[in-house]
Amino acid sequence: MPTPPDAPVSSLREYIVAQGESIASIAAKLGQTFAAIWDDPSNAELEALREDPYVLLPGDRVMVPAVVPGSFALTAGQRHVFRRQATHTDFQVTCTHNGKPRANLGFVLTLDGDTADAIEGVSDGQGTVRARIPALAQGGMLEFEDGRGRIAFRLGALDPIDTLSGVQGRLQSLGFYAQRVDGVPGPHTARGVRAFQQARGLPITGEIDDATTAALREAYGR
Amino acid sequence: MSHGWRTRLRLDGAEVVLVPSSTVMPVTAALLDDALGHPDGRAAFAGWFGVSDEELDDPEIRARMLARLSSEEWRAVDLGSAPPVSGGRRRPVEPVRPVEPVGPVRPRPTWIALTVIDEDGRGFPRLAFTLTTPGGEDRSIRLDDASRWRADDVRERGTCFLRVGAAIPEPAPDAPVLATADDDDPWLEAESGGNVALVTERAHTVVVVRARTEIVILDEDGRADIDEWCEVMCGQRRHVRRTDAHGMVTIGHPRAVRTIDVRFPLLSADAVALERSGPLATEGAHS
Repeated sequence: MPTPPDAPVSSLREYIVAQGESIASIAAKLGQTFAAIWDDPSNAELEALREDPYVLLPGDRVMVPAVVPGSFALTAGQRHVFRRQATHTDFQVTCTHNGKPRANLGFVLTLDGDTADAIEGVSDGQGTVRARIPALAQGGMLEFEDGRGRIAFRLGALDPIDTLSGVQGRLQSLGFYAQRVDGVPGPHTARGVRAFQQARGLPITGEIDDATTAALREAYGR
Repeated sequence: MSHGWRTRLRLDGAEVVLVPSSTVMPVTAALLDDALGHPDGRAAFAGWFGVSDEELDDPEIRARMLARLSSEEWRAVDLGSAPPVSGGRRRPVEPVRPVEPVGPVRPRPTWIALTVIDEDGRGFPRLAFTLTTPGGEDRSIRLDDASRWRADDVRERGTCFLRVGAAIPEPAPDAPVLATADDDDPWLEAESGGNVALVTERAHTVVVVRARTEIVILDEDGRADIDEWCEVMCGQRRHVRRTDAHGMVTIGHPRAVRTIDVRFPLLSADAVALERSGPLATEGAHS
């Protein structure tokens, strides 16, 4: 008889976050719910540090409550359909072209190269695309019906804003930084910061000060 | 260990040794192990039983030696440090009568027998199946006209696995009733011809069952949750399965089964919910 892998026996297990992971993807991966992990008191410190459960840093430690399976008594001879919870998460991205929102355009969202399960929809008046996507998706491609611009993206790869890689990632998404997100300071990053400061009417210093961080958070959305 | 004394005498022309009963003990495994821990003991036993020194360490051979000694009611005598029988010289004790050599020990073949019926007791004459013996040997078998089969040459005791490997057809409507199916009988799922475990040295009645229960698990978006572990308790039987490409596990069971218990061992209770229950999705089974 096959044997399922052992479920953890202790009440809590420590989980080290890897690149691309969020609380939602960890919950889906480990058979837990988002709330069971994020609301657990043992993660209060992490919650205070990161604030955003979708923006974790690789190496962060998350305490995951042990899986306590439920038991279902079912009538024999029937078909019983179960629904998993917490397997999906919200996806939202706002797209502009030359400063104008890509509003009311049909789109196709392909995740992890799975064209068979591509998600189709229409952007709203602000050019925002919304979808429910599998929490374990790693990345994808967004295409609009007018064929102008294909946007490739990675999911869960954004680092916290108080890290240099987090700043680089946001600047890149906003179009101010075209280099690799590596967390290493350099002239390209400073140039991107200056360009952003100029666009937002901030003092152009090239330094990531509190005002720049706040403006970056506001512009990016998290 | 008690120490007694012994004396040698003749009785009706035969030489016997007289010992107190407190020095006599049955031959136990521990005693045999102890005896075989010494070179002279090993040599003596190897000679008596006609086995090599190496074979003395074979647990099976050792068990057979012990069985032989026990069955022939051999007893050990504690010679201890009893005083010499005479003249201050300790006389050697005569060796005990050697037992017949047992030769190389071969495992005794064992047997298994089975009858295959449906829940109404009708048989499946000439049904072909595969039996995997405890030693891992696959045998292609065919039931006889009375839906029976027996083997007396199974090499090892243990658990055999019986599988048909394909859907088992309905018996002919006019097929005679051969036996009565009990709830405790092992059963095969008619649709899958699935696996059933049967121990040797028993005559089994295997019941082909046609009732089934389907368990489907979907993700939040309604897509199949593939390869999810699922444990099902059905009567006394526990099934551990993984969902297929449709997110489904099908459990065959006797029609008498009214409820089954299901759990998903790697999903927290809050992470899965029963959405609906209803008729089976496909025809071909009934409950």
